[in-house]
Amino acid sequence: MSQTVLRIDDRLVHGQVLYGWGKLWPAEELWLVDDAVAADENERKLYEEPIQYVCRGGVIALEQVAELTRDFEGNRLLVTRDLEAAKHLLSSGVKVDQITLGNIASGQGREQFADHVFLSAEERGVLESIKKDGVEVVIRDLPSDTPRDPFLSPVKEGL
Amino acid sequence: MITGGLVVTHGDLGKMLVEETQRLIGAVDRFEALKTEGLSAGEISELIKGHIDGEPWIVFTDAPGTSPTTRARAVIVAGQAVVTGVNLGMLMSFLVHRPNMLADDLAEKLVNDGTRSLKCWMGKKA
Repeated sequence: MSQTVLRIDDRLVHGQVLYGWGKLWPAEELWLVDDAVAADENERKLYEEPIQYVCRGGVIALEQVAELTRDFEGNRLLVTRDLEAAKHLLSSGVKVDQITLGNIASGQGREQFADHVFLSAEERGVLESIKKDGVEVVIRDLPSDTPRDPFLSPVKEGL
Repeated sequence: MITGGLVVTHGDLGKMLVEETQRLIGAVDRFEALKTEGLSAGEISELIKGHIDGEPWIVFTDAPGTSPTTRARAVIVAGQAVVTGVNLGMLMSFLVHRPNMLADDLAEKLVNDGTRSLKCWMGKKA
């Protein structure tokens, strides 16, 4: 079944994304959606080279998301570095079936929900609202992992 | 200054490679490992940059396209190099040849030596 997954990951495109999602899922398209990387030629090349070794895709700025094919058939993986960028991406109208939380670093007011996933109450509120709009929201590193619910209690107290 | 070797990998792979290489060749200076677990892309960049800080270093990483490789490539400057696909044969060659070679030439030699250490043998039918 074709699916578009939006991964929020502050490590951007890395081993799990390329090999676990890109090669094994597999993704027919993989796009890193990030204004800072898209604006820096050297950074863009560093990410586009391995992405294009695995599948079609590359690096685009948030404003370019609307240019992605809307009636795309196949598995498509979109990656943003944070929830803020993910919100912008969703508002562009691109269909997303699932948001998967990969790596979100600890920070003030954030509690731990998985090994590498830390969320604030405000961020959980945003995710709740996305879920109410019909987008599944899960925590999982790899497609083969059992998806976990980020709306369960944190695994550790607030930091 | 002799070229340093920094092995940056997922988990403890780099630490083990550095330890096992020194077990075979002997303890040496400027030959270290870093792991990147739990760090964001920006934090990995800062970690590597802070460690190699403009001096001659070769950064060894485990696989192309992974965070250690991408972030190391982003921060190296002239006189530094990144070599991916690190293995024991490559690291032993590094320690043997680094007193006599600059980082750029040495990096290319290590890719050749590392590749030469990849071999396969097929089992024979009984």
